[in-house]
Amino acid sequence: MLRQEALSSAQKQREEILRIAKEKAEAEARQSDVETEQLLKNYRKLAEARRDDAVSKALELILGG
Amino acid sequence: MNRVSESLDKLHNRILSDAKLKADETIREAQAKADQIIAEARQRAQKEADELLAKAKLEAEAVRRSILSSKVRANRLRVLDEKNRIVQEVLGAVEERLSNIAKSSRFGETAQRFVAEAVKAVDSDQPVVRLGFKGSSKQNLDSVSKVLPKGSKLVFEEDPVDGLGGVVASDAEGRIIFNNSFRSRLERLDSQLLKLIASTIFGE
Repeated sequence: MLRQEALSSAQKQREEILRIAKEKAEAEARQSDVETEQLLKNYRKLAEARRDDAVSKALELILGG
Repeated sequence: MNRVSESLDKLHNRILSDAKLKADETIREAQAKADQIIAEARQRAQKEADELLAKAKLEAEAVRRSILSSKVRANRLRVLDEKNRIVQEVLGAVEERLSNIAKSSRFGETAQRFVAEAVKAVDSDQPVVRLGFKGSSKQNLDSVSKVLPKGSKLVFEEDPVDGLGGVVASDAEGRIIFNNSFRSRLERLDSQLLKLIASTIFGE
């Protein structure tokens, strides 16, 4: 009886620990998606601003190198 | 007679008292034993529960790592894909500019230099030079013949060499060939180009 009570309580705690860990990880994963989206947005902005410069430098290298 | 009866009473009482003492001691011992058994059972159950919880914490960490690592991996791939797409887009624009170089003011000088480099690389008395650029005419390539040694053969291709334009030189027998087309130069400079474009755009 003692054992059964202790294990039953531990089992409930185990389920709670797993549930919280899963929820926390999913929240972190969503945060990672948000940060990645922001990073991609920044890269696109940089590409737009520096594209011509990159093309010129590449042409210099090919034509001069 | 009375005295015998009194003695028997005393004896009876003592026996009862002894028996009660004995019974009380037995009960105390049994109670102590029962308490010990319960305490040990409680300890064992607690140990089992603690082990189960410790295992649950490890499982939780594994669940967390599994969810996060696959997400982090997927997001890293998305970032790499996007950077690659941007670099390829720049390379596409570079190819476009190269294929239209005949329209630029530096065309004559570039064609001469490409020819000179290719002829030097082949190092032949009678080099054969093939050149072809999109939108170029024999007239605007005439300046090229200035840099050719005597005995050279110049061939004007109708189509751009290797699709983007350029120069290919060989010895008369075609055993030594130096490909100085834009495509070939792009391939030779591939890793330098990728680094240059990435550092210009992403600052890395």
